[in-house]
Amino acid sequence: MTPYLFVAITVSLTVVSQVLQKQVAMAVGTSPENVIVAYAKQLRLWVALALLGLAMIAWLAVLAKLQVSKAYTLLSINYALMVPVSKLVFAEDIPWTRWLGAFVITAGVVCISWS
Amino acid sequence: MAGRIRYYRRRGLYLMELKSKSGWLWLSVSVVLVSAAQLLLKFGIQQLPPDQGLAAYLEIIAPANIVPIALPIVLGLGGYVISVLCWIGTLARLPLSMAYPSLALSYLLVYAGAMVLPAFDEKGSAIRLGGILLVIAGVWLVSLQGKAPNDSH
Repeated sequence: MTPYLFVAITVSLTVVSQVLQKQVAMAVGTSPENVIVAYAKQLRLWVALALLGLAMIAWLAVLAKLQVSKAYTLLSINYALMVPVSKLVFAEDIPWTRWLGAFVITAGVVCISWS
Repeated sequence: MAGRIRYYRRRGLYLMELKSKSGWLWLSVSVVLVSAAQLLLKFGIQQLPPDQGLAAYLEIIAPANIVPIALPIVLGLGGYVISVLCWIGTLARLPLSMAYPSLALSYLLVYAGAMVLPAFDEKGSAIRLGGILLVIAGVWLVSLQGKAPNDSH
């Protein structure tokens, strides 16, 4: 299988994990009585951590095939993807500079994937 | 009275400055560790024989491979976890708009490490380096504070 499929799996798992982390952080709020207990009670936090573990396994499959100077920088597509995801999932107001940034990151990742 | 206010204001500014200075230290440790972690993971996994499918990953924990392969991978994972903790420490001390683009410098560090260290047989190219610089510029743009009302979330 192509290593790029594993890059896609790594990035997808990370994006879903980050959405869950944000949901957990919003559910817990800024001043719970006991921070550790409040977080530990959140089932979604454990799912998010499990997804990160799976992402790490997929990531090792990527590193086995691709040069690290290429593979690691491809991961930055994660930053760009989180912009539309934040808009869709959390209805965040996104300044135009952030859309531009997502576009520039995507252009950079395209260059790296060609290299 | 005015003297006391001046004293406390000076003291507050001094504490703020101290906090942000230690923030840069936390950030530097986080960036260096996350880069070293990637290089360690690669160093371990690249010693597996290539193209043997997923079953080859079981060889990571074969007795003969514990020191050359499993150890760098475990060190890499550990470095990654510690870098995440340092990152949380950074966020408590520095605004995200400063911390976030600095984290992207780890792309340059990993690139430089893969070129310079003899353990890696990687060749750089202008297009790859250019792509990395675009990514860093893009991350900086993403982290700029907009005027959107709920932007602090």
